[in-house]
Parts: sequence; structure tokens; C-alpha cells
Amino acid sequence: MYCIAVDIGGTFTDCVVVDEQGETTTSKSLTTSHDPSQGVIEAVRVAAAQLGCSLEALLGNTSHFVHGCTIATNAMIERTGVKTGLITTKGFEDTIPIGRVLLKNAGLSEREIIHISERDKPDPPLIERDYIYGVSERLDYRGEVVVPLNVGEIEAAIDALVLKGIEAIAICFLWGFLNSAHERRARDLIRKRYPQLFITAASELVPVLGEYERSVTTVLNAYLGPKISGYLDNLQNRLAENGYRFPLLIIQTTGGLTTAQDARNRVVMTLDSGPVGGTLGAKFFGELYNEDNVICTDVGGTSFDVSLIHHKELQIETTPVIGQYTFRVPKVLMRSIGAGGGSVAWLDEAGALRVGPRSAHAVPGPACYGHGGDEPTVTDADLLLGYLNPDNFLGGRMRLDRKRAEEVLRSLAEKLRIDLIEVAHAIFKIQNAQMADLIRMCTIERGYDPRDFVLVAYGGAGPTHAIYYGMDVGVKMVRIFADSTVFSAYGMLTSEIMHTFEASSPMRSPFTPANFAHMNSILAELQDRVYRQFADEGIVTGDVQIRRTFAVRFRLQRTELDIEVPDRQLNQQDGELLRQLFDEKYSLVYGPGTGYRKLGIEIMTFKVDGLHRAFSIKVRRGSLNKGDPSEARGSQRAAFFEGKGFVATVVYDGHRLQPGYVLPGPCIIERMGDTVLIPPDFTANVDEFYNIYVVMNGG
Amino acid sequence: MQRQNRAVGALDPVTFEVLRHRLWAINDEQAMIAARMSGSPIVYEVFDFNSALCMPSGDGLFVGIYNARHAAAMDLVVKAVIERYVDDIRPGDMFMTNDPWAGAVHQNDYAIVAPIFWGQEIILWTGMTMHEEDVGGPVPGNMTVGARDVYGEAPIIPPVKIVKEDQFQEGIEDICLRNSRTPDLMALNFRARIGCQTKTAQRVRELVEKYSKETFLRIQEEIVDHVEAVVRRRFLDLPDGTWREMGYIDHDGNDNIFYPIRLAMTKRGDHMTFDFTGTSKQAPGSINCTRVGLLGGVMSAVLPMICYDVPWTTAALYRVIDIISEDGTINNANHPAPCGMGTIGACWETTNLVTQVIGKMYSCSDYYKKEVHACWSPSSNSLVISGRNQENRPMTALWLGGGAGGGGARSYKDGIDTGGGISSTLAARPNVETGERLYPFIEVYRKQRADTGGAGKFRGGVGAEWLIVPRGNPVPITGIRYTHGVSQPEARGIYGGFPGTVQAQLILRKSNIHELFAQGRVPTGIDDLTYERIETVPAKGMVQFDEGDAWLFFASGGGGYGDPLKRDPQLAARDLRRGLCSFEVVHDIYGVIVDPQTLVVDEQATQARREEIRQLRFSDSQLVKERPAELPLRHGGERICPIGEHIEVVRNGDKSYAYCQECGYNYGPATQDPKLGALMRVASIAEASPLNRYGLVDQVIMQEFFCPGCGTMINVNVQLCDEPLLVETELVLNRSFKEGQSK
Repeated sequence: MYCIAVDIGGTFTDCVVVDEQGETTTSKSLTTSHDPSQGVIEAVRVAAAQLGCSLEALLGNTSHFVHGCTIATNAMIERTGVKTGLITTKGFEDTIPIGRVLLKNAGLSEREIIHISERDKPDPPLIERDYIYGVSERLDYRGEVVVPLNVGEIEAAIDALVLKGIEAIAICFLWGFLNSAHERRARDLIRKRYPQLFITAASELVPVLGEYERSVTTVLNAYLGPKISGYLDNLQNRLAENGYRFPLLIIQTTGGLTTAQDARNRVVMTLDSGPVGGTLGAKFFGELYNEDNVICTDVGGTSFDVSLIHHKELQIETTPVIGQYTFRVPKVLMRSIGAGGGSVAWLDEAGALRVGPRSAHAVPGPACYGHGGDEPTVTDADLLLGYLNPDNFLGGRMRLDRKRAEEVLRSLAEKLRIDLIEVAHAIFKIQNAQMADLIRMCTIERGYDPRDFVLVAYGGAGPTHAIYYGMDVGVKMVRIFADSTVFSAYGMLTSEIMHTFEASSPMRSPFTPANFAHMNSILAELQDRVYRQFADEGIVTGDVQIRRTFAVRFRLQRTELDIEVPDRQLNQQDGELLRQLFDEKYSLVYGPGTGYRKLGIEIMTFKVDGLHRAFSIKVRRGSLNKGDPSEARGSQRAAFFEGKGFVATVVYDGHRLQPGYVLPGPCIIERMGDTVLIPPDFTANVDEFYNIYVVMNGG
Repeated sequence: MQRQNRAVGALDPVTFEVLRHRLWAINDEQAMIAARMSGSPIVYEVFDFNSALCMPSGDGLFVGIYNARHAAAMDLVVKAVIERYVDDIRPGDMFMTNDPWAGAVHQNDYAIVAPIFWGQEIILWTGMTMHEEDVGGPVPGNMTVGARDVYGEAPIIPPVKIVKEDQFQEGIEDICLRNSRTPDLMALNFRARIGCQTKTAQRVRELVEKYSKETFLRIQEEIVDHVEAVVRRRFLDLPDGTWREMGYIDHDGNDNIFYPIRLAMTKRGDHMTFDFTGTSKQAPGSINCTRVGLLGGVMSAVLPMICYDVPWTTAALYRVIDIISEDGTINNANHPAPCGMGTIGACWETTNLVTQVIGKMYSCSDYYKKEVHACWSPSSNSLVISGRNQENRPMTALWLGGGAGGGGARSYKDGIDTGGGISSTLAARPNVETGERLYPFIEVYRKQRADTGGAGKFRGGVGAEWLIVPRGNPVPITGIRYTHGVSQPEARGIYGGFPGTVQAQLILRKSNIHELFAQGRVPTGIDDLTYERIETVPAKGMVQFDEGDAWLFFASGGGGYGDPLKRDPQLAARDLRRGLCSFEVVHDIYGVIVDPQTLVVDEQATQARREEIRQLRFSDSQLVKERPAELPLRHGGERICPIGEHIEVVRNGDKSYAYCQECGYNYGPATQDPKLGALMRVASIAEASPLNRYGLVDQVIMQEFFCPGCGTMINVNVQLCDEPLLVETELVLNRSFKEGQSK
């Protein structure tokens, strides 16, 4: 049987097929944005052809089909969701338009934030004001009813909204996460009156404190729900028509898998699910290599994405941002800057050289693509420095035009009064430094020392720059994967099924007997929901691994830290344990001695994850022998290295590397979709999984 | 001056860019760590704090993007420490102060600064200031209503060593905690300030190890040179001239007296001077700020408006900007002037005026027009609350609730609705649920308030309105108000835009709120409630409220830009749909006629209504000055620059005149304020928005200026009845200026 993963990106749809022996087949098709399922089927068909069988035969012989995509993300950015209404507490219809004021800045870079004359709240907004209806009802901070729900107003509101042509409705009341009675009542009324509407109630989707983020999450889910669930149904059907017999599995924001059936009700959990695949793959290999801490770096044409594995765990953020709207789902933390192969080099007003964040994108692309790009980019610089092979780019599918690259860089060089190669090298270095800075923000700022990490690089432009930015941040080792350009799809196959439920129940003085009883009952309820979800998918309780997390902070603080608590009934004696777990985490993040224990701690949110490994893939593994790399050796070419100038540099064919090869730098390894650059004084080693690693210490 | 022309020995462009980026990132990291560790909503939600790196001399290298008024003055803290401690500054020392004459804007702003040593030499200073909720003194939150001098306010700690050669001085901390109503918060915040700077010191040492001390010191100089070069160049691209603005702080904490602040900004070549001469003498009340607040106030507008794409390096700005204010005035107060409300008082009003003059200057440039914004919401319209919370624990807090003002209008779009303030661009507002959990209130509603933004071709962003009622409070709650712009609209518009409204707080005594709740009704405006009486809370005051009372707030929006009659009628209709303007304002001020059911614009009726308003302008006004007979008509010539939205300066031979862009009317010589050639009408502030009825309508007036040719509104001023006419625009065309010549 096969396992298949498909990742839909902006330009290409990537497919990876793994058989029981761990042999992988990879393929790509053009992304078909009008109906993405078409590109998915096409990519699988190409893979089937490579395996010498029909699409139907491949799918019929597939046990797990895993999928990740950025369709929900794009639908939000391009505002192609359905017309959506929101029903909320009367008097708070402006919660989303006000957006806690932070709506004007959320998710933007510092550079954007300081340019105040250009700042604004998103327009068009996530939801227009005349699609938001308040109804009389009010709960207090304990969840007790202050004003009962006015049923007549609900009916009037929903009738008016339906007249306006809505297809989906979100319901979010103040304090509804503590007492869901009003929201449930509203939901049932609406369902009865208009059964065709897609309904999302906040208390079911995201029962956590903070009405702004909760409203946004609920509206997002309703707004994207019909479209994404329609897409998932469509894909599931097409796969079934072509012979696939099992549930379609979807990557969620948490990195865990769920069935398409479950995802269709909680589509916010599929936002950005494609890129998460790379992080999962890095985690998987991290475990094979027994590495605790991994920095995952994905360099594409326009952006540089960084995520972390720490103590073998993914890093999760709780308030991600999309299109300036802050929402509230657990999501693998990923930071991005505009730094990719297409990043444009330019001079600022005072004549200083800058690189990015603007990109030449895929079209027209870097000047050397010869597709009309007339601005110097990182790829142009890499070409002039001899790192890229103009005749063997993308496996020879594209020729790079060195002359064009020289032309566009020359104008920069003249203005800076330095020569062409100096300017190319300056671009290369500035790009690497910016990448290193982002890595520092993701590590040092969060209390992690990059020296304790291994860095992994993937994506088309990563392997050319990785050794340099890895050296800059001081990681101990850099690893570059064999199937780097489809690595995100591959990573999806390493995931496990995961269901997460969380609930806020703020406890200001948590360690009273009543509160321990309350904690146990919340946890029991969340755990029960987890088990029920698994049961729906035919997975028995005994096969589910449970992880329970509390979001804790010092009283008065706003930012919580997550602590993992044991999977058992908690009692009075556990107060000290919880305090201690929190103290340890606090010291780790902020430095020893920075806590103020006298304040006491409070618990804000409870979370239960259930995990079940549905399948495991084998990894292609060779045996390490001291083979002679010269059989993979190609011609030489001149490449530029700092302090040495142009050096005759050996070029290897990356597809002929065997485990155990040792390739001393400087050398260049050309592969199907990327180019690995090994500078002088570093050595590339090929490991038993055909991946490359470079030891950095003393490098 | 370009980078390639730098002195011999300059760093290569790559090292420059890399290190500059790194230092900027280090400073931001320092800020974020501190915000996470802090326990004050005013720090972690409103970001009333900031982080800075200063050069060994104390000059400001990088200011964080948080509350600009703090970090703009951090160099003063470092310089005060250097002056006081001279040779007694050692590795492992950290210094703390809240002294308004030594770098704090008011006593709430505890700053901690630390030298970073390399060997025996200081190579950098770091600093972190945070607003503390309470720092002692007679009035909770140190918004000291009733103070007459600084001795009636919270205690001042001059620069002291809080950490001495790596030893935390608990005794010093004890002094501060003992005086505070919120000691736990303060203790947590001290740890945040110290913890984040300890981390920065590590980062910086790693950098020096890698790049050498010499390079590290050199880069600091080069960053300053670089920013200086960008700013000088920007100034050269702008027309020369003088732009003026004036504003008032109403109420000094004791009496409702108006204190004018006057500003003349002169830009000549690559230099700028902010001259506040003529500003009111220091007040016998807490609204003053010291020179610290003056500089912080100026920088709070200069940084976002001029340094919108370069690092915030104050050392560079002080090389190209002079700031003058006479000694002993409300924005340059001498000891022992009280200054507990200095941040939201004189310092903030200083920012408002600087925003206005830079906005006007940019309005005189076709290229920089895109950077204009009119004055934002002029001060925070919130409360310090004090009493006991629902768990019967003592409570003192700056209650942040729904309070959000609007942004100033831009030359190409509206200001940001509920956009916050300009000096603290990252400031957020807490969720209702966050507030209700901490404090014994119910927030009954929170909405964007129609008509709070100043009308204009582009209008100011609207402010919020919100209503709170006590619930579960064991004792009556004391509310302390500390704002300004209550008696008069203080967020002024630019070149024809109206001001934002006054900011109100009203107490509806013994309201029927609980009966309404019991009947299943939720009020969403003052008209939905009944009450025994309305109490208008003065701009500064201490008021108690209790069960059954309802406290209503609305915040001013931003000022408008350009004549409201030039607004796209479709935008007016959109504002109706979004609840940002009332029918009344759309009809009366914008002259737009909209079907009340469908909200569709009636173009023809709109045209007629606008013509009617134009005619009213003619019939109601008179020329400011008698018109000289010889003014030539517009005939060919070369456009030099605009003055706002409706006037352009045209040169014909050796003569330049200001012409109406709409009808070609000649206002007079280009160097004279066009409004001297305009029609003027004195209007009631209530005509700018129905909400201004809560202001002092009989003392404060508006002057509207119209084109005598076509009735286009070119200026609106707000001032006291007896104030002389403000000459606000005086271009200097004495060089062969061609706009954007270096572009």
C-alpha cells in the first residue's frame, strides 16, 4: 500500500508517494486555482505514471491520502468567502470594526507599522457592519445571566440577514464561553428556520476569553466554511471516484491530522496548513537523528519562513493573525519575512544598499530568468557569484541569462562605486544576515540559544544560503534534505491524527479544593470530546495518547506560558507541582531570577490534545560506506568566496550522491530543483537517508 | 550627502547594514520581553512603555516603536546619570529614576538604564521606561487633581543605583513599593525592566566579540550620520516656510482655565525649528511637562511623520531640529511645577501641534502630501479608578476600557476609525471581557461614535463611545479624569477640514439601567436610559459613582482634511451604512442627500444642497482684509507647490501668487497666508458636529475661511473668542525651489 501527500502551493502542486519500503516518488503539477482538486488529481496522475501504473491503480492501492493547502488562507486574502452574518450581544456590534485598535497594525512588520500615514484597518473588512446584528442578551463575568436572550430579535435579525443573501452565520455572545446556553439557543433557532445556512457558534468552536479574537475566529470559520468544506467534499469525491477508499486526511494548523469530515466544520484549523508540512518533516527527521532542537528554514521565491522544534516539540502560537485579523486557534508558530530568491536589491534615499522585502515574484521573476524582470534580485547575485548553473537551473528546464543579471546589477554597482562582484556579494551577505536576524528573533527572543539547535533547510533557495545563515546564528549543524523542493508534502506524511479542544475558565486563585474539582471536570469534559471525536473516526480510546496543557501566568500578567500537566486526577497536593512547573518554564523563557513568586499564579485556559498515529512511513535508507564521490563529480566552475575571490569549485550531481560520501568544500551540489553551496573550510557529508549534513563547529 | 561619500575608514556597506539591522532587532527584542513580563495592562495592552539604546555619550541611537514620548527622552535619563555619577558608573550597575527633571515625563514613568561595558569602557547604554499604575502621592494613579506644586504629587526618586555591580538593591525597591498603591505590579515591572536589559547586554557582548569594539562604536556614529543624511535630504525636498498652530489645554486640575500652547515651525533648507515662544506660563496644576516632555512631545510626532522609513535615531534628529520653548512655560516647566498629568497634558498637546505643522508643511508638497495626517484624538479620555474590586481587594488602575479616539485625516483617505493615538501607534484596547474580570463594572455598550471625526474631503477617523455601570462593587468607585479637549474641539483639521469633537464624560445619576436589564433590554445610547440628572465631568476631576449610576464616555475623532463639500458622496453614504456619520451631518455639513431607506445617493439633490451651502458661505462672511486692486488673474506660469487641497502657488516671471485651484481666484502674494485674502465667517463649534454641544459653546468659536471666488473652504480654526487671527502659512520662495528635485 502507498501513502500519498499533496501540498498545494502558489505555483506548483507537489505530490509525494511513499511505498511500504520507504521508496519515494515525487511529482509536480501546476496549481489550478479555479478548482484546486484538478491540480491535485493531475499531480497524482503524474506520480502514477512514474510508478508505471494508472491513477486508479495507485489510489486504489493507497491506505492514507494526506492533504495540506493554503486555499483557506488565499480565500481570506482574496476575500472570496461567502456572504456572512454575525449575531452578537447588543451594544457590541462594533467589536470587530474597532478590533481592539490593534487591528490597524496586527501581523505587520515594524517597517510597515512605523509608516503611519499608510496604516489602516482592512478595507474591505472581514465583515461589513450592516451584516452584524446585535440582539438583547447579556452574561456577566461568571457566566450568569444579566439579560435573558430575546428570541424575537434573533428571528428578526436572521430574517434580515437572509434577505441580504447570506450563506453563513456566526454567533458570538459576550462571556458565551462560560455559559453557552444563549448561543446554543440561537443556533437551534437559526438551524430550524434556515437549515441550509452554514452556522458557527463561538462556544463550540473557540470557547476562550476575549470577545474580539473569538468573534473573528467565529466569523472566519463561517466565512470560509462553505467554500472550504465544498472543496474538501469535492476532493474527497474525486479521490473516491478514482479509487481511493479511505477518509481524506487534512493537515491542521496544529500540525496534526484530522479527517476532511471533521475539518469541514472547523475550517479555521486548515489555514496555512501547507507550510506546516515542512516543520513536521523536520520534526520527524529530528527524531530519527535524535536531535532535540531544530530550526526549520524554508526559502521560497518570495519569503523566508522559520519555525522551531524545541525538546522535540512543535512551537504553537495561540493568537495568529491573518490579513491583520487576530484569531484564536493553536497554530504552529511560523515567522516570515520577504527574503527569497526573488527579493529585490535597491538603494534607499541615503544611498544605502537594501535587499527585500519586495520580491520580483515568479512573474516576471529575477532578471536572469529573462521574462522581463528588470530589477536586481538575490538570484541574479547568486548567479554572478557562480553559485547557480545557468545551463542547469530547475534540472535544465530553464536557462539563466547571465548578461541580464550583469546589466541590472551594474546600475547598483555604479551608484555604489564598487564593482559588479562586490555588489553581488554584498546582496548575498545582506540577504543571509536578514535571514539570520529572523532566526535570532525566533530563538533568542523566545529564550532559546541557537547553539543548541540543528538547522534544517529546504525550499528552492534554502540550500544555497543555509550554511551562511547557519554559521551566522551559530548553530551546531546544518542539514539539507534530499527532496528539498517537495519537503513540505513529504513532511505531511509524518504526522499523526490529532484532536485538540480547549476552554477558558480563568482561575485567579487556582489552588482551592473547589477549583481542583472544577479543573478535573473541565479536563474530563475536554477529554471526553477528544475521545468522542476519535470514536466517530473508529479509533478506540486505548489507542489515543492524551496531552493536557494549562496556560498559566503570574497574576496581573497578560501573556501565559503553557505547562504540561500529568494525565490523571489533580488534587490539592498538585498545587506545588503546578507552581514548580510554571517557575521552571518562566526561568527558561525570561531568565533565572526574573519571576516574582509572591504574586501567585493564575490559570486561564485548559487544553487537551488527543493523538493517534494512524500510519508510519519508512524512510529510504542506504548503508554508509566510504564510497568514492568522484563518480558524482562533474565539471568545475568559478565561484566567489569572501577573502579568496573566485575559486575553481567542484560541482557534484546531487542525484548520484551515496550515503557515506564526504565532499570537502568549496563545492557545489546541483540537484533537480535547487543548488547546495558548501563554502571553503566546510565539509558536506551524505548520511544514510541521502540527506546532506555539515558540521559547523570550528567551521 | 550620500553614503558613498563617507569619510575614509567608514565601514563597508554590508557590515553597516548587518549591524544596523541587528541593533534594531536587539532593541525590539528588549521591548517585547519586557512587555511579556509586565503585569500592567497599560504596558502590555496600551504599550505605554518603551525601550531605547543610547550611545556612550548618552545620545539616542534607537528608540523602540512603542510609546515614542518615553524613549525620545531616554537620552536625557542617561545624561542625567552620567552627570550625577561621573566616575562612579561601574560594570553591573543599573540606574533608576522617575524624576521629571531627569528624563521621566511624569512620576509614573520609572526608567531603568544600564551601561554596557567592554573592559573598562562603556560602549552602549540601554534603557527601559514603563508607566506604573500607581507611584504614591495623594491621588490614585498620580493624576493629581488638586495639586498646586510638585510636593502635592507622588514622590520623586532622582537617579539611584537599583542594581550595584550586579547586586539588586532591595532597599531602594522597598522605598518605591512602600509608597505605591500597586506594589505587586511595581515589583513585577522592576523585574521586567532589569530582566530585559540583562538579556540585551548578553546580545551586545556577543556582537562586540564578533565585530570588535572599534567597529561597534563606529557603527553607532554611522547610523546617526545615515539617518541625518536621509532627514536633511527630505527637508531639502520640501518648500521653505513657517507654519503655525495653536492649541489649548482646558482645566489645570483646579480650575477650568484655558492654557494656550503656540507653535511656529520654520523649515529652511535642511533644518527645522520648533518655536513655542508665547506659550502659556507654567500652570498651578498637574498639566505641565518639563523639558523632557517637550522633547518627547515633539519627537512623538516627528518620529512617525518624518522618520516613517528610517530607524528612530533621536541623536540624528537633534542635529537637524531645534526645539525652543521659554523657561517656565507649561511645556518647559521649572521645578516645583506639578507635572503628574504631564504626559497626557502638555506633552501630548505638544505632539498635537507638531503633527499639525508637519501636516501643513507636507500639504504644501505634491510629493510629500501622501504623508499628511491631521491631528489625532487629542488626549486619552479615560479614568483612573480606585476603590475595591469585586473580590473586595484594593484596586487602583488606569481603566482603559473602550477608550479609543480616531486618527487624523490624510490627504488621500480618511483617518483611521478608532485608530488610537499617534504617539503610541501600537497601543491596543483590552477586550470587554478582560476589563469585566478585573474590575467591578459592566460595560453596557462599546461602539464607534458617529460624528466624532472632523468632517472634510477626507474626514478624521471616529472615536468610540462607551457606557459603564458599577456591578458588584463593595464600596463606591472613585473615578479620576485627566484629559483635555473637553471644553473645545482640540483635534484640529488641516486646510479646510473640521476639527474632531470635544471629548465628553457624563454621569447619569440614578439611572434605570437595572430596571432595563430586568426587562430584558440593553441600551445602546443615552436616549435609551432615564436618570435623575446628568453630571458633566470636568476635564480634570475626581468623582464617585455607585450602583445605578451610568458613566458615558465618548472620545474625539481626528481632524479632517480639505473642504467637506468636496467629499465623494458615495463615501458619505458608506459612512451612514457603517454608522460613522449621522444623517444630520451628512446633510448639513457634507451636503449629501441620501435616501433614508436604501442609503442611495441622490446626485442631483446633492448638487443642489451643496450649492445652497456655498451660497450661505458667501452671504455669511466677509473679507479678512481689504483686497488690493492690482492682483493679476491666473494666466500661464509655473506651479510651484500646493497649499493644501484647494490652493496652488504659481510663479509668473518674478512674481508668485496663491491661486484657488478650483476657480483661479488670486489670494495674493504666495508668501502671504492665503487666508488673509479669504472670506471669513465666525461659526459656533456646534456647527462642526452636534456633539460639540457638550463643549463651552459660548467661549470657543470656529473661524471658517472661504475662497471669495467659489466659496471653497480653505481653513478652519478653533480658538477663544478674543484670540487674534492665527497666521498659519508663510511660504518662503527665496531660492529656486523645485519640488522633489532630488527624487
